[in-house]
Amino acid sequence: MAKIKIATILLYIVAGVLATLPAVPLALLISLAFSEHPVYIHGFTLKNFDFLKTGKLFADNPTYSALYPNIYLTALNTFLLAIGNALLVVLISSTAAYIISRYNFRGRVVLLSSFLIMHGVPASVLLIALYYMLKTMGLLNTLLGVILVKMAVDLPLGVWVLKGFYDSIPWDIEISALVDGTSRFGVFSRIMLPLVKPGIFAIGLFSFLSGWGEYIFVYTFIHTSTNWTFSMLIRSLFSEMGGINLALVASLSLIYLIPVIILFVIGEKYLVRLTIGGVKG
Amino acid sequence: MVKVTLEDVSYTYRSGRRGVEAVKDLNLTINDKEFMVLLGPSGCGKSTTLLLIAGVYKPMKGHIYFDDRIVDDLEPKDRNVGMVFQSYALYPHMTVYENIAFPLKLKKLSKQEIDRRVKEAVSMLRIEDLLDRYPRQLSGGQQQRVALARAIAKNPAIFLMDEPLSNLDAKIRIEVRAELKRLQREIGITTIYVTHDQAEAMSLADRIAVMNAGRILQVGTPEELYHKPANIFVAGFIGSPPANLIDADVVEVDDKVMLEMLGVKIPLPNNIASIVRNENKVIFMVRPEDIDLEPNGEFTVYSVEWHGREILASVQAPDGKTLKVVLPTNKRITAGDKVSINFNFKHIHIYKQSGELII
Repeated sequence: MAKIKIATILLYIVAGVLATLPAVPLALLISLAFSEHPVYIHGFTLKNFDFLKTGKLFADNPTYSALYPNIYLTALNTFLLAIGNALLVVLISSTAAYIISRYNFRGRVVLLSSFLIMHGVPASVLLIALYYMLKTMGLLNTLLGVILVKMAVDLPLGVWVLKGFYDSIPWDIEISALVDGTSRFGVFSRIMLPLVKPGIFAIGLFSFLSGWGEYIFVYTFIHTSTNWTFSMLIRSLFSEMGGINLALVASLSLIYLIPVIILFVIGEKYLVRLTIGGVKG
Repeated sequence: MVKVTLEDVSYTYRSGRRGVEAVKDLNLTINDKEFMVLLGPSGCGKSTTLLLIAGVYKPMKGHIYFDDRIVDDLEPKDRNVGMVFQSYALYPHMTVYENIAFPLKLKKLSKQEIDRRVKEAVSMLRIEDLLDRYPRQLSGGQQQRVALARAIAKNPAIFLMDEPLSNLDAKIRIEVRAELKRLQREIGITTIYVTHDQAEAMSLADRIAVMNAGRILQVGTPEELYHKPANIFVAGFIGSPPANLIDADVVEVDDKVMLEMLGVKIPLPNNIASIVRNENKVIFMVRPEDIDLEPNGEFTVYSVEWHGREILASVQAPDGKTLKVVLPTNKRITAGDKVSINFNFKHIHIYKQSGELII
């Protein structure tokens, strides 16, 4: 009995340490965001969040302020990138995965394995080629260009995961629906899609967060500050010649983080299901 | 209500570059209101045949008729068939009510009509109290009743059933089986039922089509199949315990035709002798209940199983082969007894080595 208790206590200690580790930087970030000093954690103030009132950074310094976009515009851009990526990935992967799961066509296996390979290619090696492609298409320095690139990179995982979901639905259910009076498309929209809903939610959530946090593509393909997203804005605060205002970076980062945390709390059950995979009949 | 005719129907699955011929030149007529069972081992093409009739597969050769109409290219949704699967194939995201109403909604029936038909179907199958449940909350037997109700509510021209009872426990299986038979009679609907279980086939069917390797080997009533199997495959497949199939040589000793088998020579009655006289190697088929044992002889009782209504015995012949024998329970035998055997020659059959029936 005593032994079990010691084991339990040890377990809690380990769990506590593990839970604290990621909390430390988060705590530092929060403290810094409310700090009176721009570099050290000192005192408590809300002035670092002043930008929320007008959307302007460095409102007290007009020349400096003009260098930065309105942060509400940046927020909108970030949201558009995230939601655009999520919608496109969900739309394409839900249909493509169904076809790959159910239809037998030439090159199916090659296509599947190429998805895995594509997923393994680091995005940064593609930058030059993508830059050139976007330039040719006239999509350089546009949000749409970044969305398309981001979608292309996130798509293989989405297709792969959803294919697994479709695979787990027995053929009989599909045949049954056909006999019951639906067309092949009807089977897909009325029966199959509702059954893979958990997978679609999870893929949508992943793609949204992946778009929300995207940095390298924005950094490479976007030049005009009015097209920036949060990641770019925060990075730009480091590159100035003058002193770094860490407290401002922290407060911006906090704003940047909030939607992520909310989404994770809402979507947790879908993400957990994703790791289990499939639907239960 | 519909008569279904399959005329020279063939279907080949593609698997890589090679094709697998699942159904070959199939000819079969299922009469209006008939309960037809397609019986055969797994992979014999019976489920493919069913899916061809459902329209999920289209015949690569030959034609399928509903009455006099060719339906080869008709989509499943336009064939008005109700289908029941081994896996039940209920839609997991719909309640029982929604499951049964789904095909009716697709037919664009009015709300009242849908409601009326659902209520009627569930009362037929006595599952009224399950309407708000989801499939995962039901037992196998209940799920299969819901699947049946879904098929019935559609008011289809044909029922197609693919091993609907195979996933159920033995007790519930017999219960649902009886119900199925009753419903089919009550509604009077052409039914095509696929199974690999010969006992199930015998108890349900008006007629049975025995299939193997994509072909139909024999079509007939359960009685015909039992008493006059057209070939070795049917003889061995129908009946439990299975018939004894024994390799035999036809020999003539002193002008009497005998079968040399099991290490003994057995004289044949004249009517049979005259037919097999010119044969050489044959296969002798006798059902376990058509063998009787007498005390003293060259055979040895190997094992005795008491089954309440009957005794099932294994008897070892002088050449080491065993025969299955079913005896009345008043027969006193024990393992190790020496016995001789008598055949009821009225019910035996003799086949060519190739499997065809001689007599």
